[in-house]
Amino acid sequence: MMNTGYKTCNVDTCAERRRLLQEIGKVDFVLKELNLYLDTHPYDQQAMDAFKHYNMAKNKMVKEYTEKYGPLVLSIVDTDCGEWKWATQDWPWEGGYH
Amino acid sequence: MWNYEKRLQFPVKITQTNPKIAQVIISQYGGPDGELAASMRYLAQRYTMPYNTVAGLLTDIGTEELAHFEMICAIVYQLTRNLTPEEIEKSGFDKYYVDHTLALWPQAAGGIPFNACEFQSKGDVITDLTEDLAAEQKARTTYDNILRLVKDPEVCEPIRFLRAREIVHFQRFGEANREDCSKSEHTTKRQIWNNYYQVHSPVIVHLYIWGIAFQAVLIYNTVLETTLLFCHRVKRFCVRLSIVRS
Repeated sequence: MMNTGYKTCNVDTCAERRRLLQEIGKVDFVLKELNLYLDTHPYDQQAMDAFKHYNMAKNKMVKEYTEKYGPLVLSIVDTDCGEWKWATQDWPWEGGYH
Repeated sequence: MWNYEKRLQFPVKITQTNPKIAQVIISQYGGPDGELAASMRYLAQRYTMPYNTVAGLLTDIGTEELAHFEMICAIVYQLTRNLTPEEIEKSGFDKYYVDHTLALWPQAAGGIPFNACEFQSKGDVITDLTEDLAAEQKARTTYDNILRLVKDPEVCEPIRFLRAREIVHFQRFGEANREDCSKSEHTTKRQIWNNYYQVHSPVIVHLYIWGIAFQAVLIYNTVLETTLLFCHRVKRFCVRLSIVRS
């Protein structure tokens, strides 16, 4: 049976938002892999350099996402827009932007 | 301390509900080899892990497992969203529904509630890491079984992702189980000596040789003096007995 629980959104913004979220997911996946690898190889400078690179890339993308659509983390959040989007927007398990 | 990131580790968007497979997949939430047990196992074991690197690995994998049961819950939630009473009855979901409605509750596919006995926290490095290696393989097997039962690609994709993560965790736990993983930070007295010896070995060999030479001279002198003294005394004794003239 068709799942009718999804909220509708503007097709273009939705696609762009999904794309950016997926890019963040990809970069974060690399970071998670490097994180676990470094836990068992704590003196691998090359891996640490890669971690630095992807960490900066992720922070940049999260900042862009937050400015365009809403917060992903509470450390980067817009407090001047008059709306606490952290709580008013959908939660990730709803599947809306994935 | 933890921070929440408002996204799933891997996208979950299921357009076709299916309470029958939801009942199978829920086992990876509250079942014996589920993600909840995995997360709690690693986060419980880390306190008594004597190696900082391995305690770090347990923290980081335990944290990733939190994101994994979030994904499993999202799959179950989306598979059972807005069901009609007829669908619930027809799919056999009624036994779960009567106690939990459509809420998430950690249980195995057979209905057995989540139990802390699903994981071990034993306080011994080898015991705990071997338990973790087995746990990752058991979870991988469960995902293999799920993939044999589920055909919907929207469900299979996140399940395949989770299956692959079990293999990566197994690899990392295997590395943590190696003796050399934490060598540099867990230095024993013998290792301190070995390191010192490696750095200072020419000086030490030098001192050692001179030490032996010095001792040899000392022993030689002592032996010589004792012999001479002995001879002198023998001579004096003989003089006293008038065997020889002084």
